[in-house]
Amino acid sequence: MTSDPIIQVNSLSFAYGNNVVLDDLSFQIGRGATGLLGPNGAGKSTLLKILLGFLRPARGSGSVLGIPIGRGGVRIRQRVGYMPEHDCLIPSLKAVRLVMYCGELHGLPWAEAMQRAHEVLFYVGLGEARYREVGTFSAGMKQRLKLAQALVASPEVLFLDEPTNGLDPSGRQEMLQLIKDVVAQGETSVIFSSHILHDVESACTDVVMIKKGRLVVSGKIEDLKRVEQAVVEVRWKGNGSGERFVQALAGEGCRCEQGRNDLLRVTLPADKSTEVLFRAARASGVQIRHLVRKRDSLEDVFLSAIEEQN
Amino acid sequence: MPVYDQQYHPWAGKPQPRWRRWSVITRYHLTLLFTGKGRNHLVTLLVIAGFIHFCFLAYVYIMANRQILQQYAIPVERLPSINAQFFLTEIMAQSLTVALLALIMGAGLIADDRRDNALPLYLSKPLTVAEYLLGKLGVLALPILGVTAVPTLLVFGLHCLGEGGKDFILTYWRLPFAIVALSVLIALFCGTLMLMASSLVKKGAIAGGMVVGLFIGHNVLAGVLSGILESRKYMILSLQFDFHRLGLWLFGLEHLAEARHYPFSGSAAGAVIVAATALCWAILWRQVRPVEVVK
Repeated sequence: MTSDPIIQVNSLSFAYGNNVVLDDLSFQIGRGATGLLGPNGAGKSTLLKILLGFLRPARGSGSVLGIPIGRGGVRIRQRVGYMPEHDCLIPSLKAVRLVMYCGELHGLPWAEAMQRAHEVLFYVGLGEARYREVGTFSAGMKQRLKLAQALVASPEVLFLDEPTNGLDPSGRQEMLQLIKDVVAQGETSVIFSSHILHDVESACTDVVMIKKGRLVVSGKIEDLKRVEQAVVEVRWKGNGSGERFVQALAGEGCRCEQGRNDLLRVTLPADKSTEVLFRAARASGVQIRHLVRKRDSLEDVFLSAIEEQN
Repeated sequence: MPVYDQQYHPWAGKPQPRWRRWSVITRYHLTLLFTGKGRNHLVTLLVIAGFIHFCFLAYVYIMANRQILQQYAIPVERLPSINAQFFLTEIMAQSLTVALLALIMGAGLIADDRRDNALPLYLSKPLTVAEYLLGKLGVLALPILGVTAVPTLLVFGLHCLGEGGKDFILTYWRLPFAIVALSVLIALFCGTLMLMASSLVKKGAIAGGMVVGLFIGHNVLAGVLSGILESRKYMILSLQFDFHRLGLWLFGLEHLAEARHYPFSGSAAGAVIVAATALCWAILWRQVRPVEVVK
């Protein structure tokens, strides 16, 4: 990825008893926003917990900000903010008291922790609710509060474990916007663990995909979402027969597959251009209403990488 | 206020030294005593502790002003004199206050964190499990020392300044050390026991019940074993007796009939207390983790 990785993982393996969670995982992550993507049970949360020093890997090594994992847990946590996936807040505390407490545990002096707590709560949009008890907060407010406690000590890296869980669409957008904004300040890198491809795609520039504890693919999202010159997606309409259209395309040497949303995915022969599509349409009496070169979505990348792996 | 009105400004200050982090937890919990529900607990504790100390201070006052007794024709020799035994009795008399303190303040210390799933919140900060436990232990140990070592040392100082004088100091110079040592052991044991119970459950009330049960249970066990096997040496299983025996040893009261009543030495009693504390600590260490692994 970049020349200055903030996280490096080499042949990392971990198991809960006989259940292998991470299996020979190796990758590196640079500065910026990186999505840690994978289906439920892929090992994303376990990986974050290993990086934070909560769990010890069975094999392999790694580092966060140059500090080796395992022995350097406290030093890593000094420079990392963590937003856990599950509810972990103390319900009897007022929001400002909780964030201040977390700041002090991070090493902020009392007065500065108090000031930062107010600032960060305003930043995440809880300014008006900062004197309310956490127990009275909605799920969306709790997610924001978890982000605030992770941000209070200005970490160099922010580990966000499923930050959009339980949020309604507008809350999700606001959370994603906040994450993008934190990264845009340039001081903090974000590791965004999620199983929701769209969220990762909208907030991150890089991605590490894992499945069943193994690396599926990693790299810049833009690079992974390559444009395939030879594949086009077509939607047609007209009185003519669709079967005849497909047969005509086959006659031209094209391979056709029915895609989603009534789209016909056509793979053109190497020596032919999109002109053959119009010729086949004319011959079969249909009109082409939609024609785009296929661009992989993150989902396509993920699915094709898994297919390749299988 | 709309969400993005305020920009994110990184903090560029210097963090506090790491050795002070545990004290944040202690301070936070002690501050809670002065707010909300904690305030009621605090008032209850102060009333109990205040009453017990009123009795002792009244006693000291009467001892230091014997002419009051003479005025009412009460024979002075009937009252016990102020010596090492008096100070040991003073500390041991605080058992009830110590137990109440531990139960009221300690029952929910870890249980509440487990209920709220807040352990990852604490341990994702630059804090080790030991520092977390030390912070929680401080919440109990400081008030316990406040009702054992502090008032006893104050009474000792008062007596030295008053009737006792230089001779008393020279005779009983080791008493302050003994007072501190016994009080610290009581605070460590009671604190660790309460934390251990609190770490096993997710409800403070259950943790409190467990400790009361343990306290009664182990004393009953010691009594039953001593009775069935007709040997007083099984009294060593009772931590209440162990603390008294250890106190007699630390306060230099081995010559008393009370000490001879126990068929085990003060150091053996101390070893049992240390072993019990270590056992509680080991269970705590196992229970308090940032990640709960469900097998």
